[in-house]
Amino acid sequence: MKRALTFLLPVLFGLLLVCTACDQSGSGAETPAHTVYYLTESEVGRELDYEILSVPEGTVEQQIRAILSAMRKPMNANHRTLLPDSVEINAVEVFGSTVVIRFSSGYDRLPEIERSMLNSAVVLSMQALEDIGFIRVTGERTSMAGYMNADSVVLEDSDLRLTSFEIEVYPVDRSTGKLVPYPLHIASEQEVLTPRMVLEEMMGGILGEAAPFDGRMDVRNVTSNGENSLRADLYVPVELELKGREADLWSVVNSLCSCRGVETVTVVINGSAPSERGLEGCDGLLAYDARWIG
Amino acid sequence: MEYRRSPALVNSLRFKVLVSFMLLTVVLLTILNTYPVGRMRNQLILAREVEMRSDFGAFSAALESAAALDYETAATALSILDVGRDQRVLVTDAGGRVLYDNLKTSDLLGKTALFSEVIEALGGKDVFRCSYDIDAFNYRTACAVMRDGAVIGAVYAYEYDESSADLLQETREEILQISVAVSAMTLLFIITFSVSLRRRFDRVLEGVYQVREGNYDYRIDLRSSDELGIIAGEFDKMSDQLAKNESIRRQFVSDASHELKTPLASIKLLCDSILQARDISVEDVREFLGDIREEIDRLTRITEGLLYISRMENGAPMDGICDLTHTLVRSTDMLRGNAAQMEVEISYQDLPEMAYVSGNPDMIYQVVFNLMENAVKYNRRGGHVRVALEVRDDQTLLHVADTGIGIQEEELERIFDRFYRVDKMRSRETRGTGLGLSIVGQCMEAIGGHIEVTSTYGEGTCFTAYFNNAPEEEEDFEDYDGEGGGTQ
Repeated sequence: MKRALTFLLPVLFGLLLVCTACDQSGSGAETPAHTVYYLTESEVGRELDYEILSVPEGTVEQQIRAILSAMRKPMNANHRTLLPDSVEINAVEVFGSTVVIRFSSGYDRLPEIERSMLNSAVVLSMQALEDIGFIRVTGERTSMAGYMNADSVVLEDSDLRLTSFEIEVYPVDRSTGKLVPYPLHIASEQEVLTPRMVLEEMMGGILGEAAPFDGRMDVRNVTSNGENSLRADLYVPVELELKGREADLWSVVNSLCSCRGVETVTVVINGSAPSERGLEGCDGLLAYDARWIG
Repeated sequence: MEYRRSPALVNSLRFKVLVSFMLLTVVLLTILNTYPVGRMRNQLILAREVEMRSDFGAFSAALESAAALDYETAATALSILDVGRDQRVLVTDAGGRVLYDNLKTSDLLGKTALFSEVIEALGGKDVFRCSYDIDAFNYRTACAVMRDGAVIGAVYAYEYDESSADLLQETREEILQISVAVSAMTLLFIITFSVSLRRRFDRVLEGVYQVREGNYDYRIDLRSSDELGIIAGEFDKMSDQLAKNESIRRQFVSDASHELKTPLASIKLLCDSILQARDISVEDVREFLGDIREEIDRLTRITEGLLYISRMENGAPMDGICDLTHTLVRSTDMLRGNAAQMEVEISYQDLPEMAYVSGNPDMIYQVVFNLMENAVKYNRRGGHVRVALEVRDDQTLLHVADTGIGIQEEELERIFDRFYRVDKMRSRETRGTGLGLSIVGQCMEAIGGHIEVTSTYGEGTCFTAYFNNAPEEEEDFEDYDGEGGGTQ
């Protein structure tokens, strides 16, 4: 019995210590990590950077104030606060999911870019707080334009990639009724030029109001007799007379055939064959026709 | 010492050559694969920087002069200037809020773009940056839009340039392919060269080994005109010379042994005669002792001659200046007794008052004395010895002609060999050692001259010694005033 007690007592003591430690950690009042934004300066220039901090639990206003307080004191030596001491917090107002933070006149005296960076840092730092949708930051005389959320600020430009395409399209020369080659430049976020992009660009630019089509369209890839073909659904107001305006239709056909891999195009106007709107020789599969080039 | 046909690979010359070539190739190819591509990349970036700074500087200037900074103004200016066709172009206000984006489907309008370039531009500083990865160049430029000294916005342009990166990558791959091909060819060449070098070195080493072992007849016979071929050729010549020297040495040892053995045998015979004769008279003993003395004198002359030759071979001094006329007269004085005994007349022709020649006076005396002594000794009774000096621009020629027995043509080549005698019987009578002309030949060679001989068998012989004249400024000369004659 005595030997058993000698063994059990240290074990029980150890368990007691572990339980005590668990109790202490469970009673902590800090929330999960928040990203708090600061200014950093490196060889690539000035930009916003963040630190991951824990913010004590409490009301939304308390948490906002805690974050603003943390924004004044960066932990990382390479970070600099965007919220100088001259800018004091006059008020933090919470209206449902919208928060208005009112700073003192020091805010008004900041250069505009500094003010903008402060606004962005505040908005980005608050994004982890639940129940906050929009934020507005004001001074005593100036305020940001509108309300902001995390989507309102863009820090990275890696998504701005733009791909340029050059393609030859064929608008109608109204004086001759023939098609003229025109180098169309298209800039797009997509890496591949699609016939739809070409047609949209033509409609919005060089064809414009001169074309009878009203801008709505639907371009689909189809395969016909083993050939890569397109079906172009165009819309023309019913009251518009199309008879004799075959050049407008061939403008679309020849231009689409300039796209890589497109061999033939089937044009459908308001769901019907072109002949039903008085356009002769435009039904079925149409291939590039040089006779229309003037 | 053992000859190792194959040294350890790491110690072998071919390994060192191989490693050196490979290291050199690696270094060259590394430079080839980095420097041109790096330079091309920098050129591309620089060209783009100039273009973008120019384009968007102009765009920024256009916006500065516009009435308002908004979407329409930016779109119009961009269209008129025809810039930004390949770039994403943003225009922001002073707070970084996007007012214009050239992408029609943009979702950036109204948002705050706080890229580092925009921040710097809004701080009043134009900036251009480029980052490059294997897929593309990422060019970024930003310019401030100023009005009345204040920043009212910024122009930001971003270009993702894949075509230049592709071009750079293609160039890099082409250089790499060339490098691989060059490396393969170089390696092949190095291996071939190394194998060939090893074979040829082995042949040279084999030659060295064979000669070291005494096989002087071995020839490397490496038919090549490079350095190794030259070394092999010279080595073969050296083997020839060694073989010849060895033959001479053996002949010399044999001759010297024979020449020394003959007087010794005579001495022994004479001593035995004295010892074995019971009733030998004093007169006979004196006669035998006189013969013994002659043989001892002969031995002495032979050993003195050999010692003289040995001294010359061991580097006796060759320099000096000597008056040939003076030496000639002294030699004649020394031989006057012998000449009178032989009834030989010695006469001079064209003897100048002084004739200074270069060379050790002792050697020159040996030459003159030996030539004249031979002319007297091997002359016929009542014959003549005609001595003449011919002074030319840079040489003085000594002619010694006799009316003696002459030398047969086939023997002329050998008369300067040691212990060679033309008429062995007469030589013994005249107490010759067979070393006199050998010493003459070696002395002439040592002092930089040479000697020629012409002879008509039965009529006489003429020796012509070519001495180099002493430089005129040399005054410190030494005439040989020797006594006792030369070495016969």
